[in-house]
Amino acid sequence: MSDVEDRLRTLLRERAATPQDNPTRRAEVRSRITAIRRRRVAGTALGLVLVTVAGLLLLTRLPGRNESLPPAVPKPPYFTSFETTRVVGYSREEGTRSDTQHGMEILAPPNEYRPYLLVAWCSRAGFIHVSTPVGTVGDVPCKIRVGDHYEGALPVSSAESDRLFVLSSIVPNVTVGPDGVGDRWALAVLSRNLPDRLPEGHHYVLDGRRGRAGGSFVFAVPRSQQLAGRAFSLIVECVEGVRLTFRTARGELAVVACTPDSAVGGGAIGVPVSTDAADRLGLRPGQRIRITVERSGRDTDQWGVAGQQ
Amino acid sequence: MADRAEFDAFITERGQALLRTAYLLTADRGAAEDLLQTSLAKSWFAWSRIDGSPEPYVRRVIATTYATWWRRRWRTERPTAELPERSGPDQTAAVDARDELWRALTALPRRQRAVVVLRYFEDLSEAETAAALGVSVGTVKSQTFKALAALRRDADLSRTAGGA
Repeated sequence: MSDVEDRLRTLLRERAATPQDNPTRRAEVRSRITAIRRRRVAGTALGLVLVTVAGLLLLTRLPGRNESLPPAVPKPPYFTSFETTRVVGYSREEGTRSDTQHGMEILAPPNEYRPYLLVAWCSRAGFIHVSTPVGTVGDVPCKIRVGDHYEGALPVSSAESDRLFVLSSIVPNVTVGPDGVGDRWALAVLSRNLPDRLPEGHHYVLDGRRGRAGGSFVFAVPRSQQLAGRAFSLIVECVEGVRLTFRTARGELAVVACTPDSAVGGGAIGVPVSTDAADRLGLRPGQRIRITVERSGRDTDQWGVAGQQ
Repeated sequence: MADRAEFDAFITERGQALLRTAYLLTADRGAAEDLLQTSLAKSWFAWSRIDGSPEPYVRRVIATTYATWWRRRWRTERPTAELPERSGPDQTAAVDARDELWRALTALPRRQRAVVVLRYFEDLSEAETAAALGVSVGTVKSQTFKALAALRRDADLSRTAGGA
């Protein structure tokens, strides 16, 4: 091995004599120093920008920040307990069942007129992947801190509801994949109380689609009171933002505003008429009266009076 | 300003010697100058903090730059199995043997080549070589052993022994 080492030393010394010196080296090194300094300054500036952007992105995704919610999605909390939900303007979809072992089973038929909201309760921040035999519905982000747990929501529009409500012989027909949400989590399907539009085929005693500004209908005052102090109630279906004023020949009967929190599950809004109002307007049980309806608020024909409750 | 004058003087006085080291590492004159200038420029930013002679520091920067960053910068450098044809008529056995050893040297992995150059050209000890490359003494030993074994095999030194 020493022979190799000796020969290496000789070779290296011979070869090292080869390169010629460079008289402009000092100037070229200075130029490189300037270039490196510029790159460092630019790199520092870029780094600051990236750190700032990353910080802002992180802030928007921090648990507890509502900025991470999609537009038009109500803010949490969505759950009053691990098992019960309460979201203004939404009702828990009947016929759904979920457990942490087998996913979720949705037995209810899809309603193509109402938007849905998948809400999640998680012991840790993460995602819940939701899919059906026909494909992925989406990921429910569960990253907003609420007390000792996290919550989140994924909106499913009425047009997309067929992705969630899949009639399938496979049970459960909705597969739920928790991702980092901890051992304890729950998922619930809520539907918005107000529809996106009126269902086709529904018949109304007064249909806004036949006169968006309003109209009138004949109504028989019930012979018996519905509740103490309440003469009767009218039922309205409408999209959000519509305001309807009900009048008789003698004066105003009632006003209803179509807001998510005024509707109950099923999308109908009750318009109660008190016995005092009925007496004031001279309404007698069994009397047939003409009620005129005037729409205000949102300019749409998507409203209808379904009759009395 | 004193630092700047010292740095310029260092380049003038030691540039050629350091270029030789860079050339032995890169086996290419242009690449050697580039490696040297890059290493000097990098060294400038630590110049005021260098304790004692700056040459070992700069040599370390050359070696580590060559062994790491250098491979990205010089992707096009490839060890060749065959040397280009020489135009001169110096086809003596001794020259052939040295060329064969040089070719085997340039075919070594960069880390092994750096160890060989520092150990047998710069005459650094194993500990100094380890410090220059930022590796352990054990790594220097193993890299040296592998390098010499490869040179013996690839350069067929048993055939050319004593032929230089």
